[in-house]
Amino acid sequence: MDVVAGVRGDTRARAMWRTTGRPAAAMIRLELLSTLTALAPYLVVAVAAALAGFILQNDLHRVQEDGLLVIGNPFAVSLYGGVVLLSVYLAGSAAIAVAREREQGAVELLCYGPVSALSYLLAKLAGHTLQYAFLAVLLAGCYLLLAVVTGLHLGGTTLLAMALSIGPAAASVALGLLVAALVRRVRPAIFAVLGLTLGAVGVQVAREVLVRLPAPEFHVNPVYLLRWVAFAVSSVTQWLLPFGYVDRELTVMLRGDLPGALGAAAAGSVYAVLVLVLAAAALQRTGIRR
Amino acid sequence: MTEPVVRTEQLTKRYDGLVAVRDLELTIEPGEIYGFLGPNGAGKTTTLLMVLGILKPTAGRIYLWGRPLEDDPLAVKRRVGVVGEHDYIHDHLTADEYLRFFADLYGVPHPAERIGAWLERLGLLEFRTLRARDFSRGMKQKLALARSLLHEPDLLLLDEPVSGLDPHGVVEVRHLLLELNRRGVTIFISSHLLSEVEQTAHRVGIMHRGRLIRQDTIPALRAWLRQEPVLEVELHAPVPHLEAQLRALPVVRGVQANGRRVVVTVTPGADHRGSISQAVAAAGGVIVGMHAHEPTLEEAFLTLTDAAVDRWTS
Repeated sequence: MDVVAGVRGDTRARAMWRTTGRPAAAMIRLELLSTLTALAPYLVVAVAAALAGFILQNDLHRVQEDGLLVIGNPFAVSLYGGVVLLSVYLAGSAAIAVAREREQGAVELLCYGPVSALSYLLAKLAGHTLQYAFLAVLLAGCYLLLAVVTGLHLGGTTLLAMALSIGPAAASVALGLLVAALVRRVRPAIFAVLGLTLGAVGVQVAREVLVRLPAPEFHVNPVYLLRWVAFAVSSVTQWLLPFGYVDRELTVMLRGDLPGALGAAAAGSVYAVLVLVLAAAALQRTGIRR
Repeated sequence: MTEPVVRTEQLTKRYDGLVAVRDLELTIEPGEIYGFLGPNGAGKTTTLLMVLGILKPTAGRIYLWGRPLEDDPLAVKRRVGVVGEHDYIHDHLTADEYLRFFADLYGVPHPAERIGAWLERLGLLEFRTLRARDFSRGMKQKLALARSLLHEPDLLLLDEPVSGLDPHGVVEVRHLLLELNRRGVTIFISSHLLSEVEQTAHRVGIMHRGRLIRQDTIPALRAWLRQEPVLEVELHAPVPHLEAQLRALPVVRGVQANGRRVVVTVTPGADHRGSISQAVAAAGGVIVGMHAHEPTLEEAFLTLTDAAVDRWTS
């Protein structure tokens, strides 16, 4: 039987399912089986929950001391910390998974069969994003438990912000995939993801510090110049790196701006798709062989 | 007319100035077992990877079932089963899970039955719940073979398929390949061992330094590779001018004298020990030992790919 002709006889959707969807579904199942039976994702959730516990304990301590604490959303900082931690973990995990499978020859073995660079990376993106959804539900459960224990209010806005963070999280995963497609090896991939994360955080911190720094009244003011540079770099990285999408989505959602949060989540998803296509092209170019 | 299963046209692969495969014209007909031979580094695996679309050729074209590979590589690859050099991965999975994953990947109908059947056929059924990392090398090789056959491919590409197998396993795999071939599966075996393919292959192609130096049937190749027999003569003492006297004999093709030891290359087809003995005695020599040595096909192949082919190609 001529399979090529057979595929042409199919409907376009069925052919797409056969050539891309079904292999991707099989790879997603394997990805979830491998990652969700590992210890690392649960450790990250535990660290995020511990961080939330520490922050809430601190808040309660201040209430005890001052008798009053005015705070908009007691879970806001914890939510930022948790979502950023999970996003960075998944970006790193995706980069390591692809770089390691490439080194071991797993990608090559898959490509002996009906798997293309795009369907392979698509499966990785979907697998890690689903993993994020599962871990986010676990973390939300932890927050709920902390809310019950501390008596602090966990609002629907917080939970919705967490749910919508799946778009920016997918963007983080896509960045990890792009890094692995470009650098090939496990260790450089880890350093690259860590470097990008720390770089993004560093630029944000520098910008905040420079905004607060008093500017001496010189003719050519170096603080103004540095402030302008930090602002320019941070404006670019806010769009080029996925952590900016996480920040925007959480900020607008916690302000109660649902359309804005939906827009930020959608922007994160678009970023994920674009970076995925770039990663597939990079993987093709650098070669799937180790 | 039936299209060849695999056909390459002027296939070339270069890496930074090094030519791994040069102007390869390969044809594999439907239903044949093709042995792709050559020493390590000859360009066999590179060719295999280009046929699979893993490596992009520098020049030339590849046709599978008459269609250019680049037309629809994913659909074409559904018809191909591969045992390559990277088969010992995903070894955290059990044999059953491993095969189930590949069955899902290819959309194999009734996967449980088919997995069970192949595991039984390859003697791995009792180990199906064992993780692949706990398998011996031979068992992993059989598992890779089971994986490559799950989706009932029309073309089987095997890179060193019996490496790691014990003699019993080698025979088992050989029988399996012959059985698959009888069912119409075209088989392409890449190997550096002539002995591995000479009992199964209908045709053989020999690669050397990226070139296909010979493509023929096994009997024709056997005739081509057959080398002249050699007589190793041990003398009681060195004999002056013996070399020249031996060379004068019509059955002698070459002589190498080294003190008491003389190596005489003779024409094939008859026992020339008598005439050599007479000639040595006539020259005043005393023979204390004589051994006839006819190179095996394997030795002839190795010699040819190492040295004679170099001369042939130059």
